[in-house]
Amino acid sequence: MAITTLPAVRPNRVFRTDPTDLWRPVDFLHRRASEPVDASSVAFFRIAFGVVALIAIVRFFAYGWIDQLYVDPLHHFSYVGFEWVRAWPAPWMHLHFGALGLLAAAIILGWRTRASLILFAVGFTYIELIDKTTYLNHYYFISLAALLLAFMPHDRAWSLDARRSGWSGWTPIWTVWALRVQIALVYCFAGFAKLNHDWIVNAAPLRFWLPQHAHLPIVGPLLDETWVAYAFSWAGAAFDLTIVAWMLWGRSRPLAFVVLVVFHLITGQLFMIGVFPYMMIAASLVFFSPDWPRRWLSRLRRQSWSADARVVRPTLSVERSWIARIAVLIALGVLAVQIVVPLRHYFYPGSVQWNEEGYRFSWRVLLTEKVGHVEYRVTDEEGRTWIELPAEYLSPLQAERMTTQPDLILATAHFIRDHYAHFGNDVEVRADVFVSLNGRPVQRLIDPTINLAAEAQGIAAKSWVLQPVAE
Amino acid sequence: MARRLNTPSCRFTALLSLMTIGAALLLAGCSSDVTRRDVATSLTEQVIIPRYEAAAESSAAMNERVRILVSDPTAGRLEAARDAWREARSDWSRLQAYTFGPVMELRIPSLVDWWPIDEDKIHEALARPTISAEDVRETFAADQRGFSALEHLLFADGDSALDRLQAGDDAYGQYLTALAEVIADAIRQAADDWSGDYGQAFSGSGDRAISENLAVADLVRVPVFLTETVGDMQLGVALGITKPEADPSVIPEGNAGAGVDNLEQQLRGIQDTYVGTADGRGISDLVAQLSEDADQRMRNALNEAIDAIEAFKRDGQSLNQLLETDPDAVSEARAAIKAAQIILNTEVVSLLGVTIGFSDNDGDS
Repeated sequence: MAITTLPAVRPNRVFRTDPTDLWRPVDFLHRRASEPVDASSVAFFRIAFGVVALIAIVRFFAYGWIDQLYVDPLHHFSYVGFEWVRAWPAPWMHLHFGALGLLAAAIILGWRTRASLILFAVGFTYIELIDKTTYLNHYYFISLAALLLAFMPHDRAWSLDARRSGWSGWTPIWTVWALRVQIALVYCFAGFAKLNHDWIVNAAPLRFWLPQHAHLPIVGPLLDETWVAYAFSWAGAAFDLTIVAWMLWGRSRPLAFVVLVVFHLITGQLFMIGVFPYMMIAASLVFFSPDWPRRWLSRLRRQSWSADARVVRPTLSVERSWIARIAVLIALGVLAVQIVVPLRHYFYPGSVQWNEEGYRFSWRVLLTEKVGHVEYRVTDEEGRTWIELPAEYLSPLQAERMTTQPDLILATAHFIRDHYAHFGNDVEVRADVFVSLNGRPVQRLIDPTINLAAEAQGIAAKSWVLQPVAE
Repeated sequence: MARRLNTPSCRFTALLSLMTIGAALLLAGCSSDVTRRDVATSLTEQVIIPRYEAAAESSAAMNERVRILVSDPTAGRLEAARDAWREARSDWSRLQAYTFGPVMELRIPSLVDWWPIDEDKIHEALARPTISAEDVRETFAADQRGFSALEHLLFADGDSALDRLQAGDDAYGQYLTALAEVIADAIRQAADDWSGDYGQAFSGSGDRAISENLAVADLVRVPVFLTETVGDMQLGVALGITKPEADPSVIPEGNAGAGVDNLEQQLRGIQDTYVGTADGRGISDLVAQLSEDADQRMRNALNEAIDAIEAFKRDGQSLNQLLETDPDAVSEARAAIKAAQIILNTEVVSLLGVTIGFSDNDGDS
C-alpha cells in the first residue's frame, strides 16, 4: 500500500503554513498527540489492567459463574444484531475463560502484547455479548480498555516485547490522554446520571442501601441515618462530576487521589461491585505525570530517575501523512460515539430509569433500586388462558434481572411463544409486570393488553411500555 | 513539624474535628430508629420461639390423643384425636412463614408436611406385621408420612378408623401412633433448636451469630416464597389460572377439610413476621422508617388477604368444596394473596434491599 508522506513542519508553524488548509487542526492534533512522554505510566496501566482482568476471570471460575451464567441457562438474551453470538457448549466455555486468563497473564507480562490484547478484547466482548442479563458497567469498561490498549505501542517499557525489541522508554502522549479520556467519560457520565430528582432530592437509592450496613462497627449506626444518605448522595455526585478536574490539576492531584481511593474502597465494601473499585483506583493513576512509576521506582532504588540510561528523550519528528490524519479522525469519531451512546436515552420518550431504553453502556453506576414482579398470561387458539412464570424458562439470575427491563420482558415472551410453537400451538402472550422504582409504590410497567408475542425486538421506542404515574 | 501542629489554629481544627465526629456518633447513638437486629431479636423471642413451642405442644398433645385412641378406641377418643390433629396442623401451618433454619437443616417438612400423599403406598404399609416410629422416620417415603398421611388414616371414610381399631387392626394403630410420634418429635426438635442455639444465633449472639441482614432476608424471603406457593402453585393450579387445565388435587387438603384453615394460618404467620407483636417489633417497623405508605399498603394487603380467606370459614365448606361451588370467590381470594405477594416482592424487598433469588453475582447499575 502506498503511503503519501507530507513534509514535516515545525509545531509553531502549523497554523501559518496555509490558512485555507482544512487539515490544519487535524495535523495540529496529530503533532501534539505524537509528543513523546515517559512510557512507564501506560505500562503500569497495562499491567494493572491485566491483573484486574485476571482476577475477574478467576472469580468467574471460583464462583461457578461460567456454568451459572453461560452454560446452564436454556435461553440467552441476545443483543440486537448479535443474535448469532452463542455460548460454547460446556467444556469449551470453560476453556474459553481459561484462555482469557492466559491472555490476561500475557498482558501483564507484555508478551505478544498487541495480539494478546486484541484476542482478550474480542474474547471478553464475546462473553459479554452472549447475554444481556450479565451486563455490568465495569465489564464494558474492561472491553473498551482492552481495545484501546491494543492500539498502543507496548514494546517501549516494562514488557517482554520491549525487552526483545529494544527498550525506548517513550510513548506518544496520546496513549496517556486516551486512557485519561476513557476514565473521564466513566466518571463524568456517572456524575451526570446522578443529577436526577431521586438521587438529589430523595437520596434514593442510597437511603435504602446504606441502612443494610447498620450492623458495621462504629460507622454502622451512622449509615442508618437519613442525613448520611443525603450526604453520601450529594458527595457521590460531586465526586463523580469533579474528580477528573481535581486529578488533572497538579496541585490538587495527591489529595484527590486519596479521596478517590477512599471513595472506591468504601463503595467496594458497601456494595457487591466486584473488581470495579480496584480497577478504577489503579486506572486513575494514569492522571499522574507519565513518569510517576519510574520516579517511584527510582526513589525506591534511591537513584535519580533521570539516571536511567534508557530514558533518553527522542527527537520529535512527525510527518503529515494521510494515515495519521485518518487515525486522528477515527479517534475523534470513537470519542464522539462514546459521548453519544450514553446520551442516546434522550431519543426515547420517558424516564431512562423507568423504561431502561438506553440504560446500558451509559455508565449509570449504582443508580437504581428497582424490583419487579412478572407473570405472563398465555392464550391458546382455543381461547384458554393461563399464567406462566419466567422462572420456568430462565435461570435464577435471568429471572431476577428481567423483571424490570422491558426488552428482556419482551424476549421472555418470545421464549414462551416459541416454546408453544415448537409443539404446534400458536399462542398470544401478555404480561402483568409490576415494578417499584427507588421506593415508589408498585406500578405496571407493561401494557397488559398488548400481545408481546407479536411485538418485534429492536432498538425502536417501545410503545407498550407504560409511563409511570406521577406521585 | 511538631511546632506547626501545635499552633492555636491547628489545635482548634483538631478540636473541631473531634467535636464533629463525637457529635455524629452521639447522634447515631441516640437514634431512635429500629434496627434490623432489634427486629430479628424481637421476632425470635416474641413470635417465632413461642409459635414453635405452641406447635410442639399441640403436636405432643396430638401424639398423646392418638396413643389414647389406639390403646382404647372409642368414638369420643377418635373425635378428641381428630380435634388434636386439627389444632396441631393449624399450629404447624402458622409456622410456614418461618420455615428456615432448623426446619430446613433437619429436613422436617419431609417428615411432617408432604403433599400429595400416595394412598396406595400407605395401604401397602398397613400390610406390614409391625410399624414403628423408626420405620416411618427411616424407611417410609415422604408421601407416606406427616400430617396428611395421618389425616388420611384418622379421618378415613366415616368411622372406618374406629372400626379397624376396635377390630384389633394392630398395624393401623401402630401406623397412627408412629406417624403422630414422628411429627411430634420433629417439631419438638425444631422448637428446641429455636429456643437454644439457633434462636440465639438468629438474634445475633453466640458463636454462630447470623448477620442481621441475613436474618431479615430470611424473614422476607420465606413469606415471598410462601405466597408464591399458595397463590401460583396451589390456588392458581387448582383454579386453572397458572395451568391450562384446573387441577384441584394440588390443594393439600384431605378428609379433614382443613384447607381453608391452613391458608388462613399461613397468611397469619406472614402477618406475624410483618407486623410483630403489640409490644414487639416486626418487618413493618423497618419498612415504615423508609416509607410509611408502603408499610400501610403491605398491612392493608395482608389484612385483605386474610379477610378473604376468613370469609370462607363462615360457609363452613372445605377448600375443595369451595373450588367447586364458588370458584370466583376463591379466585378473588387468590387475587388478594397475589396483591400481597406483589407488594412484598417489590416494594418491601426493594426498600429493605433483600435479594430473593440467592444471587451472588456482582451488580453495578
